[in-house]
Amino acid sequence: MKKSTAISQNVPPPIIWRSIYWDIQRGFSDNIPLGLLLIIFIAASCGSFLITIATGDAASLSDEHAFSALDIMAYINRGMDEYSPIYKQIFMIDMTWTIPLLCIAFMACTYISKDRKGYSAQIVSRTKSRVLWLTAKYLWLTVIVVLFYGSIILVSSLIARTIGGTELFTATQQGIALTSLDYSNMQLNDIALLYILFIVAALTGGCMAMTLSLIIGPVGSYLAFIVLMIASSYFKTNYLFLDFTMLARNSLVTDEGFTSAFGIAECLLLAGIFIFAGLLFVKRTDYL
Amino acid sequence: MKRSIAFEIKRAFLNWTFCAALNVGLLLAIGHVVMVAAPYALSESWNLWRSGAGGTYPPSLYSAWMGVTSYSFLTITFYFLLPLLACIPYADSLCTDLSTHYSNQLICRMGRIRYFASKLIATSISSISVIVIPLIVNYIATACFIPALWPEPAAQIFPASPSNMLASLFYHAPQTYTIVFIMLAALYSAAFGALSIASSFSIHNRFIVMLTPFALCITAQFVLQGSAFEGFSPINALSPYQPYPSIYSVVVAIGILLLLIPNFITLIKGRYFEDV
Repeated sequence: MKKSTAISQNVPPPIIWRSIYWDIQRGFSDNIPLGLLLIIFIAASCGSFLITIATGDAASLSDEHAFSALDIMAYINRGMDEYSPIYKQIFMIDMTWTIPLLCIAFMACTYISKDRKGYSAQIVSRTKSRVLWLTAKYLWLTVIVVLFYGSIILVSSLIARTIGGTELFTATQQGIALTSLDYSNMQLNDIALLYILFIVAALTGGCMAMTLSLIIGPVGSYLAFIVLMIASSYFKTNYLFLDFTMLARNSLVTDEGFTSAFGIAECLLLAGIFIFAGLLFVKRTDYL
Repeated sequence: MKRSIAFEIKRAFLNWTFCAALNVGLLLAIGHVVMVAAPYALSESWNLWRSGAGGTYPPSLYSAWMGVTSYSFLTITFYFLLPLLACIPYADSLCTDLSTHYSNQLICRMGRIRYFASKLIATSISSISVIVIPLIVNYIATACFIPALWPEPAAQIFPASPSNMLASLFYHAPQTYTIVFIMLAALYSAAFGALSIASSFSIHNRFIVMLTPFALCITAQFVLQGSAFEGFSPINALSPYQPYPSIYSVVVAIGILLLLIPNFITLIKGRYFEDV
């Protein structure tokens, strides 16, 4: 690791905000294909939900035909039930849960690796701050994750409002039958806390991918993220934070699940550790 | 041509990415032996058989090596990472050569076709090695702990059921079944490497080139999820435990097409390649 030789100076506030704004804007324009892919994913998942409703597998279990935005959100974020290897059944990973996380990790890894070989030298020399360069990346990641989960809520609400036929955030028999999860007791504040947990957990994963990408490169970071993701789906433990992105493992639907408040606290702590490690690493590395 | 192939193979095998990818595969393979096969060998199941009490069917090599333990985290991780591991060693080499213009040096010395053909051959061999070596190591190491008891359909501990491809082969010639699936993994690994090489002409980012086959496999897995064709997704088709039914001839045909088409594209583009 090269020691920093640059003289650090106080960066004026207008440059900070301009730099952050430009980085976020650049992050969006460089990742348009992946952004479109995530939008297609949301559309495909909603389409899959509507097709399943229409073909009657869930309808046969229920007399009601209405569905709500909460049902669509539960379907997309369902995840996998706890797996027990004792019974030696085939373990399968749910792609609906996997793909958004893989996309977020990919964006985090590639943006950092591209910048290190390109714009970082210009940005660091103009702003005279490595910390600002990396902070802008973490903020961009936060915006991406919030936009993704916000889009799920928005699209679900639009579809449910148009053809759902019931209140937006109430559980229906259709949704409960389709997901095999009983989330009928969820109140609005439970839903809000749950979605904050999803956002924070996905963000923590992205921060981990970004920090590891700084240290061991994008390939190693992505490999480590995939292994963590598979481990999180296989094992049910507090130490594997990607577990928190699954509704099926939350205490709102299962007695032995994770509580949202605990999950948020743990993820915020881990995200803070990853961000701090990244900032520490960046301060000691020469990008010029 | 031999010299150019030897040169590319040397570049493919004598680099740290090949070592890293092979080490990851070997870590999963040996970890599987430690976590699954060794406990089987030392577990209570063997006490019953040793004492002559019998009872349940004891574990066999054909139910305990890495390819068939569908309940093991290490097996799932290996087959999920297979498209990525196959491409890490050398699949981004053409992208690197093109971006650094090192390809110009090599092409003016060995010619276009020789350069691109030897690149494809070296990439295929390195991709196959990274996947096949851990599988063979795991198979042999598992055989050191657990005897190769003949598969018994009534025992219900073996992965092949009537709807799986080559199920009759599994119960008549289990070694051949294992070899067939290792060769299938080799075929698809070579195809993934060739796919990355072919994509290097249009994608100029090494990481994206390396990830292209993995992304396609994940997309196929997502699109086919829940449908009747789920067994034809590469990640499912390559797993000897076969989570979903599929047809052997179709799986092999898809693998051959995936191998031939990128090779063809690379050679055609390479034939008319000019870098000014």
